[in-house]
Amino acid sequence: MELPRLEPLYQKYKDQGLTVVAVEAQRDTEGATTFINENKLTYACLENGEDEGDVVRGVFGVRSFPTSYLIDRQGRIMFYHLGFDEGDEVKLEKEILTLL
Amino acid sequence: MITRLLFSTMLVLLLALAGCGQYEAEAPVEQATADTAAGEAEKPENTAWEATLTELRAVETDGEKVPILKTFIENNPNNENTAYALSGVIYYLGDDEEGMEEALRFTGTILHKATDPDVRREMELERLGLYGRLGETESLLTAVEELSGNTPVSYSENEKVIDAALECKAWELAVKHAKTALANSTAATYRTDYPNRTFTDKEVDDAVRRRKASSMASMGWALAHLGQVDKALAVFEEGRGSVTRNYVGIPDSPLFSYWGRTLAESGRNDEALEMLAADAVFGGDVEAMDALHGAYTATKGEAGFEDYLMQTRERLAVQVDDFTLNNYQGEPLTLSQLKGQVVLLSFWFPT
Repeated sequence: MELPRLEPLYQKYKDQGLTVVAVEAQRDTEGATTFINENKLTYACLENGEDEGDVVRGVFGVRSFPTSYLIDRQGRIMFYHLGFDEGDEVKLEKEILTLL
Repeated sequence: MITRLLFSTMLVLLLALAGCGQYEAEAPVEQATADTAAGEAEKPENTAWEATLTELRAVETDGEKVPILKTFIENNPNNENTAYALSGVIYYLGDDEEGMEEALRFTGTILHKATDPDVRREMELERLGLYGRLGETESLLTAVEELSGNTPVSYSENEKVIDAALECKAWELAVKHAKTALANSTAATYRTDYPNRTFTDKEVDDAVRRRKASSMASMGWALAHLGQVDKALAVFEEGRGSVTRNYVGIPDSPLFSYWGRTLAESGRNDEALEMLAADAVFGGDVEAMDALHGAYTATKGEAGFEDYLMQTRERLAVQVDDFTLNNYQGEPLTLSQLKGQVVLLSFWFPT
């Protein structure tokens, strides 16, 4: 599971300007809050909107999960990652370092 | 190497299977999803499979999942989920040749036990992929011949044949089946393939477009390897209109990656750089990145590749759309408030 593995990255680089934003796509409030609390996630966890407010599908067209974007300081999407396999946090860290 | 389409299909199917639950259906897997949805409507509960899923959810590593799946398959050789479970065994064992050989032996054993013709056919299709990745071209050709001998090969079956053929460089086989796949890239065929489902016209259009893009990508790539480069380039050119791009700008088909690699092989490196760019720099298509590096070196020399990558990204990157959503304390967060920071934006859902 991806989210818990983002926490150490966040802790390591937040002082250098990394922010993590995780959007739960299905509006499973109970499942999401349980998961967030159990894994002690400290970065921003947001809930997707309903219908017209469905940002995940409506704005980004994302239908496969987890999907991650790395956005640079100018607001440009510089990296896209679908899925999360073992070792992917290493790739992600390398990409984060090129943008920090 | 596995094509991206197959890879993403495997990811989606297998992670769902493993109980990770991170995936919903995505475009290329629509066929698989449609099959499942159509097939499951009126069936009784599959208790053996449900129990297996529960066991799978309770373990962490791939190594622990394999014996659970194997036990299910051995005890239920004719279950509707047996071939699916087998695809899991193949996925988890498939990291190296030794594992693939083991998966191949296991598949053979189960095929001796299974009697249901549908289950057998699905398992034989799984075995094609192993033949492909192990480079067992002769076995692949024989298996495809047997497969085609009994029942017509459907579009999604054809895709598996093509992927296996591309894997083991059986280029003529790939071209042959890509032609069939392209012929099946019509609205009428798509609807006929899923008789129990209702689709909107747009869904059908999108599916047909994906089929065309996929078939033409494979066909062009195989033709290029048969030395028919001009013909390959013409196929890519014809297929480009069927490729769409995701939000980030990455094509939903390997067509541009194959096209760029074909151009690079032909020494047309400047054009190759353009074709390969989005696949290489945003998404981690390793082969596209290698080809991009090669084309860069051929035109500009060894130095400066990292800078070139960064500039290419900056040139092609899209500005992210703004949005506002609440956190679980009900406090709103607007993405543009974070400008000036590097943001890792991740979309997920809990299991």
